[in-house]
Amino acid sequence: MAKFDIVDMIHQDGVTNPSGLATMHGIALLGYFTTIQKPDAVDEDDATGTTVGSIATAHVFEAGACMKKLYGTENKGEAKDDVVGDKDSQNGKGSFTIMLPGSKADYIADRKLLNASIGIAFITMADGQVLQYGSEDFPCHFKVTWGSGNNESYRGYTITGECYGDSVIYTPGLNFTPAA
Amino acid sequence: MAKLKEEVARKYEVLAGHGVGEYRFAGQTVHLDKLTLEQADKLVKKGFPYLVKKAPAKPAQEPPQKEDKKA
Repeated sequence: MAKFDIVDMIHQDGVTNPSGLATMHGIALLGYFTTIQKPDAVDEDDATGTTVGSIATAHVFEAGACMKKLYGTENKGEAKDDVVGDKDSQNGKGSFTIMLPGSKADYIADRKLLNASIGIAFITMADGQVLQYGSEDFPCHFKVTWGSGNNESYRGYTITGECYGDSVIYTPGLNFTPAA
Repeated sequence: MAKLKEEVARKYEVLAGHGVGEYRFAGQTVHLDKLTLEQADKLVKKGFPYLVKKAPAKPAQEPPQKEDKKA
């Protein structure tokens, strides 16, 4: 049984609630980490809403590794959390889409690499909070596609990620500095 | 290798295993090597986890006094 109670869910006067994503995100393959922090499980003894819904301790990366920057065109990306499974066996399933403009050899290589890799994505919402998609046990599977668009649309990569489990807020933010 | 500014380094050290470089926290880009102490204090107050307050320096120990040999 859960050790904490649900809270009142009410309108919060004076709290802005911008929709959509910001333009800078982070992505890391599973092999980049030495320690991946976890949120508390709902039924853990000392669990609170904060420790279940967020991770406050920074993950530790392998020496020389860190998140890679992932730019996303504004108003093109989206992140979602769904529920899957039958009644009494429900689970979370998170997904995101980011659109990266361009076409170049490095990105083609990244596409091949990401399509064959698993990892964790750190998606920045419009208010600056970062959502973590993927965990050590249930990492994100990436799918990267590319399209030229037509002469009045969009040329670039569509990066999607999908993972089982709920996304959580990762309060340490994005880390673009290789670990010492 | 990038380093914290001296005024920042007197008060803070970088979280173990992490480097001095670029981070993005609460929608703001942070270059640790360019932070002033005031900016560092503000970030830490907001919960930035990559700067850790240094433990206060221990007072220097006086060398043990030699006992006078009794005649």
